[in-house]
Amino acid sequence: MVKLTNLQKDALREVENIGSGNAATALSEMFGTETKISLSHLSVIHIKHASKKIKKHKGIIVALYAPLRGDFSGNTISVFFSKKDAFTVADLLLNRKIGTTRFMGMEEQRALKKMGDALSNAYTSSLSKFLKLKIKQLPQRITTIFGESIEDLVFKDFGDKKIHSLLLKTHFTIGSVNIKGEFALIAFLKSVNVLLKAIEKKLKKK
Amino acid sequence: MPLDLIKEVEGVQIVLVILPNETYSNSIMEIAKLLSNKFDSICYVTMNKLYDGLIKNLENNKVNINKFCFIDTITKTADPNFKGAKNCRRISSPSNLTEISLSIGQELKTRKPKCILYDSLSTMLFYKEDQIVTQFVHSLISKLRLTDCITLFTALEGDTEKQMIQNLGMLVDKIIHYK
Repeated sequence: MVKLTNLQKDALREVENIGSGNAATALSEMFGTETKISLSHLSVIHIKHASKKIKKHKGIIVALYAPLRGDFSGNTISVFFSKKDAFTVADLLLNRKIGTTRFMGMEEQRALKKMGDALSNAYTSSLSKFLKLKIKQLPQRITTIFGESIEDLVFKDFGDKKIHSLLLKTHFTIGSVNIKGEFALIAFLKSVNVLLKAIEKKLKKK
Repeated sequence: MPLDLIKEVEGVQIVLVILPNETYSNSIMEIAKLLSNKFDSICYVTMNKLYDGLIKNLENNKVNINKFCFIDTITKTADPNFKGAKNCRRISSPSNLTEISLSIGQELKTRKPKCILYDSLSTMLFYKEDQIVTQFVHSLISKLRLTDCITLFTALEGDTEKQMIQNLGMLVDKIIHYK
């Protein structure tokens, strides 16, 4: 794990706080019910250790995945731990009676992708605004994979390089239907350096 | 006593293998290894493991991947730029039933696999309604019956109550609960 100074840690937490706040507001509005976001992990960490921090759920999971490019490259990933949860979220987003969605058609996929966008945008915009970084988010993709294979998805762009990454992982809970999921933002090494430089620049200005 | 899968599939052609959620990942690797010990040519239709990860898993489990060809329906959902590989046909999504059917047909004609591992019906049921998947599998089974290829369809234990899995139970030669 890369040792961050207390000031760097504070700055990262601040970015995460802004992102979580934005995400909670966006999702609460989207679902019409309180959505809670809580941080479970934030550090600059070796890829090998980062993969261990991503929960390997047994069973098929539904993942929304969006690559990030620009000053800051990496991935964001939002995970539902069951197909049923993904169907319930689609019902909520499409204003349907819970239990209506029985498979993930194009309309349901579009709705879920919007949710993935709202989560990703909340964090990337806080990084952009707070640290003046240019971040481009590529379109959300929806995939179903076996939970134990999630690291293949999250780290697929990293190759086998033994590098460090930034891992920001949060849990989200959609209140009225008690659905839990995970969101993670992972950055490549180059981006970690860009991020730390941006933090330094920000701190010098203060 | 552990289940002898190879003995179980002797004399049958179309098999439904029900896998427990908790041990799915290990079970599917065990099955791939058993099949590679028995058959020289296997077609692996993957719907929930990305190609690179699947190859890595098979190699880690000392499965001879040279005996396999792959029909990958999932990697492109996560990575539209996925180029595939020499032994791998890319499908845009597990919901693209036409492409899946055509690819299996092409493999049956060209590589003539002795066995197909179709993993899994549970993933198809995420993207398409029961009835559509049933029709698709029904048509696929009719095509497979005209060959000498053995096919193993997998499904997760949690989906056994689905109408489609129950319907399929009547179309296959045998249902195996893999523990």
